[in-house]
Amino acid sequence: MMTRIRAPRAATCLISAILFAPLSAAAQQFGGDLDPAPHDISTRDNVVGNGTVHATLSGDALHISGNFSGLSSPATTAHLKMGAAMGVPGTAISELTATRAADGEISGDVALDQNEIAALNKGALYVELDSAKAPDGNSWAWLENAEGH
Amino acid sequence: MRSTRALVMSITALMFLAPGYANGQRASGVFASEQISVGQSEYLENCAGCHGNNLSGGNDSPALAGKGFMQSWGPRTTKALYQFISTAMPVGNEGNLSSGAYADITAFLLAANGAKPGSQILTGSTDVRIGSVADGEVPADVQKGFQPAGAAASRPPERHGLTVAAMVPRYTPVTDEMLVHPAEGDWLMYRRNYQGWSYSPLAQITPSNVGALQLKWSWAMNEGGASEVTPIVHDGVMFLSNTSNTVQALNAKTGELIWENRIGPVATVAYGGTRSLALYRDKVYVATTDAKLYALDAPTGRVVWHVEIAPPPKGETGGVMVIHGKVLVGMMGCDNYSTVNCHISAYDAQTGKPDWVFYTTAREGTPGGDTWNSLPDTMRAGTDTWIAGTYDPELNTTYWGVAQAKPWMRASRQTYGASVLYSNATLALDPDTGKLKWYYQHIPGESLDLDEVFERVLIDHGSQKTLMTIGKDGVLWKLDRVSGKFLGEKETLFQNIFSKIDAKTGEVTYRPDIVNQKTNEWIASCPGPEGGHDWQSTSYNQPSDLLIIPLSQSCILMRGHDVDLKLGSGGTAASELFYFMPGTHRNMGKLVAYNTKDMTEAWSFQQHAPFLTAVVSTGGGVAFIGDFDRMFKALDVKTGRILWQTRLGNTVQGYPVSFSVDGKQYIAVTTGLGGGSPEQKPTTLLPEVHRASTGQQLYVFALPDAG
Repeated sequence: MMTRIRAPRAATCLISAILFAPLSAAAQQFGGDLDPAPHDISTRDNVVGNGTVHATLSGDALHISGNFSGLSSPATTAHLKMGAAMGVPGTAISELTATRAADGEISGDVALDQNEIAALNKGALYVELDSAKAPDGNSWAWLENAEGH
Repeated sequence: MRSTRALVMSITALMFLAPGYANGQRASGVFASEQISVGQSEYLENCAGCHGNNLSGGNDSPALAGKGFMQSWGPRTTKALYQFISTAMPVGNEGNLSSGAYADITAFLLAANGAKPGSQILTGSTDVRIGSVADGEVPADVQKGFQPAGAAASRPPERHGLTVAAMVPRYTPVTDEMLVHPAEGDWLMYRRNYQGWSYSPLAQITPSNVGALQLKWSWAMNEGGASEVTPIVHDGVMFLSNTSNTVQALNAKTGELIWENRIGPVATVAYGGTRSLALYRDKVYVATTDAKLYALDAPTGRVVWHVEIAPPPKGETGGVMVIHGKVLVGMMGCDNYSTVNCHISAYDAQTGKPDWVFYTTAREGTPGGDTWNSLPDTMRAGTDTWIAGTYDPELNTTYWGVAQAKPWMRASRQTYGASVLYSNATLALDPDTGKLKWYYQHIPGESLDLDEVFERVLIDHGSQKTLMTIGKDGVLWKLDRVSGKFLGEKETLFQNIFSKIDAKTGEVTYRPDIVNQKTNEWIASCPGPEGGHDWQSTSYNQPSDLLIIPLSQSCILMRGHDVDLKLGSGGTAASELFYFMPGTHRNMGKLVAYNTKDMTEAWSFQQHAPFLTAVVSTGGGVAFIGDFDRMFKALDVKTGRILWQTRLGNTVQGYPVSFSVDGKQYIAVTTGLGGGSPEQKPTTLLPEVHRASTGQQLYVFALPDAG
């Protein structure tokens, strides 16, 4: 006869915690294309270029990486910014690192507060890349949840 | 001709050098006085059609003199202005003037904003902050407006009137019954039937044979002006509303011209094509771009009568419709403050006698007149009706969409939170009296150039009589067309304009920064004024119950200017910057089909180039649409799968139709320029798409002849 052994409740909880911890804390993936920043036809040639940005959120830590190419002037700075909604320009949260060239990479690590995490989840965070010819924005990438991207 | 032009230039130069022009002027000039007169001639030739003879702007074209211009350009440089106009202007012929001409136009614009001439010649490399040389004080003669003598003198002589005279053989008068129940092979009005379906029951062309389509004939249309035409076909004759207010009758089977009436005026405007004609009894009706309504004898093309819908600079582009022997016509060109508010009007089809007028601007002392923040009637601009209405014969009700108020931004027009009736509303009118039965305002107090003016499509599901429409915001609306009650909505693409749309009432809540906007601040809008949805109308494919909707995916930042509340002022009064819609991978074009009964999406696809034609779908289960990058496509109505495509001479733009002659089904489509925002925005955003500066053309396709 088989005896069913009931594990103590606390042990069950502990095992569950160990098993499910990686899932509940699983990093969220975000990404977007680097598209030309807002422009008119007179500034169009200053905001050319392509690229992509990926972001990984683990807890409150957002790791950003990306690449760009084909800018008409060297990149100068990059920032993580937050708008009121996706597609609505806003203000900088943090400076990122960008290669000072027409082709290069973007990277950075940013600790987000709850408000910024909420903004990220609704698509209101973006990476802006500035250049010598477009100091107020050469390209931007709106970070969308990878599942919906 | 030369001496006339030289005289005009000299007089102009003297005018600008006269003491009156020195008032308020600033630092020494960065252009030579002789550039003013040359620049003025170039301006009148190439720019005035859109921006006005007095630089006051109109439609999508901003004012080029005064406060708004200085707010937009004062902080920027002469080099940037030169670069802008030499790259983007004139619309339809971008970048094709000489560098000297662009420099002279730049000089003229500076002078028109109070800048003082000097001794140096302005060139494309002259780089001075505009605010340091101009103050926006507009000389009196500029405010008054210039006569385009120089422009007219530089053009070849233009013939007007009945330039090709012949008789349509065996013309059959169009009856009221035909309008309600059109013959299968005919396309008698704008969207073919009163319900606005853009659907032909013809079924000869099917998904299985559409790949064999071939060109049967083609017809070169006038160059210049905006071409957004719907060919009208009756009994084997095609009536074509060509640009420059030219009407032509063609043999729809062979392409042979039967008669031509060049009513005029010749197009100088790159906006505002006449989208459609109407047929009734023995007449063809056309509302011209200078806001006149003409009745032509359909068999011969001669003018029977004409009336003025409104005084200049009002215009008409939406096309006309005939109900119960009355010709109904909308109006556009209501951008600037004037003594005439926009309206829909009706005329006796036989005589042209005016019948009724309904003001789409709710005026002081009338119902809804208290929704304009107490502005006087003369300061209530916009509310144009630039798309023809639809009609329910059983309810005897005609449905019209109304465009946005002007200036575009509520902070500029000083209406703030006021709803500004009847902007962006659906109107239900009695066609016999013009009396309002009900209205539904989709987006009260809108302020980002987001018209809800487009086709009102009438669809029945059992006893439920609905009206469906979609505006630039991309929201698909369903109303009960008996009562005007809101029934439902769907967001067909990403939008960030509304933070909430109440699912029960349809009430929209704008994003807070839109509500709290101030002039001279950038406000974002996805989608922007390209649409979402624009004049490229939907098709309701009745057999499948699918509404097929062309959409565009782009966004803008808009900055409203301060506007003086005085006659002639107003206009759109805003600057714009453009960008791709996030998450679309630069796919500006989107085509989507919705089941109209439950408003669920059946299929959709995206592509790089936006669509520049309406959709026409057929009883054979094929839909047709054309795009900015010159592709004309046939697709399976049920799946959206591309079945056939061919590349035409220029942007495929207009309203394709299907008709039959002698039992054979044809598909007609036009290429053209001057498509307004749907063409302007991709011109900026898609520089890799190269298009010719000419190529307005009609193409007619069919299956190969048997045997």
